Parts: sequence; structure tokens; C-alpha cells
Amino acid sequence: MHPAGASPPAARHSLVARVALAATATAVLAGVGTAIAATRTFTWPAEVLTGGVEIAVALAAALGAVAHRRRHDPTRRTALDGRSLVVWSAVVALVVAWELSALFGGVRHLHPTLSSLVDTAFRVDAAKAAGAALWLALGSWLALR
Amino acid sequence: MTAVLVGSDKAIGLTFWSLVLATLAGLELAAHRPGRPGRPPSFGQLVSRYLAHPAWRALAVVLWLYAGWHLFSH
Repeated sequence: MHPAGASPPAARHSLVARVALAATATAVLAGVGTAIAATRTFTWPAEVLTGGVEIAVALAAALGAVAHRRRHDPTRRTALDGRSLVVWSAVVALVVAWELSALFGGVRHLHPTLSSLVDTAFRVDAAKAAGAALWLALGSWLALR
Repeated sequence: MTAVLVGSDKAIGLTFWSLVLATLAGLELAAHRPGRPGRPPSFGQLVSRYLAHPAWRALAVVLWLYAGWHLFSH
């Protein structure tokens, strides 16, 4: 018996586990973000660190894909109105056209790409660390969902 | 990733990307407006719909890998 108002031990353990998981994930994101921000592009530490993170997440995604395949049910996919996708598709097409014209058209100095703007922001170490943490969080979400 | 932007070049890019962001935010807001039968899907609905398919999911992971390599290694 537990006193009135007290959480049962199982619920308390579950909460503790969730808090510990969130704290660990935050520490990993902050640590990796800071480490990546401490490296400079075109150097071997940047290659090794980024490559190591990418290999780990790609492996997790591959394992997740196998598990996902086992439980995948195509009939559960969300139905969307095809016509309503036109606007989203148009924005994506515009962004792709902008990036490709800058890449192949030699007009990058006139039409800067998204990565050029990000590069400017990443000159500040804190912004680069936050960007790297966000990038890792997105990759982990993709791999584990 | 080598270009470093200055002056008006930066303004052109900022204007374009601000418009893109504003459009995306507008679409998301339109998707959440109640009582509109023809409203566009939200970003979350698109993600749920397409990442359920292995090929789109693989493409998303490949894009993520490229983004990391491009932004932090090169």
C-alpha cells in the first residue's frame, strides 16, 4: 500500500528513466555540438568527427528501417488531398531551382545559397554548436522514429 | 562551403530566404485554421505521410548526411 497522493514506484521509476534519458540526450547533443564547433572545415578532425556521427546515425537508421519494415502497414498512411500539395511542392521547387542555379550557373555571388548564409552565421562558435546539435537531433529523430 | 557574403549579396539571399520562410510559415498557419475544408496539409502531416514510406525515409537520411558533410566538414 502507498499513502494517498503518492506515486506508485513503477510510475516514479518511469519518470526518473525519462528524465535521465532527456538529460543524457541533451548532454550528448551539447557535447557533440560543442566538439563540432571546435573544429574547422577542411581539416581531418572535422572529417573524423562529422563522419563518425554520420556513420552512427546511418547505422541506427538502417536498423530502424528493418524494424519499421516489419511493422509497416501501408493502409495506415495519412490520406492527403493531392491538389493541396501544389503550394508546398512549388516552394520546394523554387528552393531547389535557386540552389541549382547558384551551383551550376556561377551566380552564387548574386544569389547566395542557404549554405552560404549558414556559413556566415557559423562564424560564431555558439551558432555553429547550436546548428550541429540541431542537425544531430534531426538525424536521431529520423533514425529512431 | 566556402563563400563568405558581404553587403548587397547577403541582402539578396536574406530577402529570398525570408520570403521562403514567410511562405512556409503562412502555409503552416493556413493548415491549422479551423473550418476550412480545402486547407493545405501541415508540415507534420506531410512528414507523417511521406516518412512512412521507406524510399522517402531513405532520401531524408541521405539529405541529412549530405547536409552534415557540407556544413561541418566542407
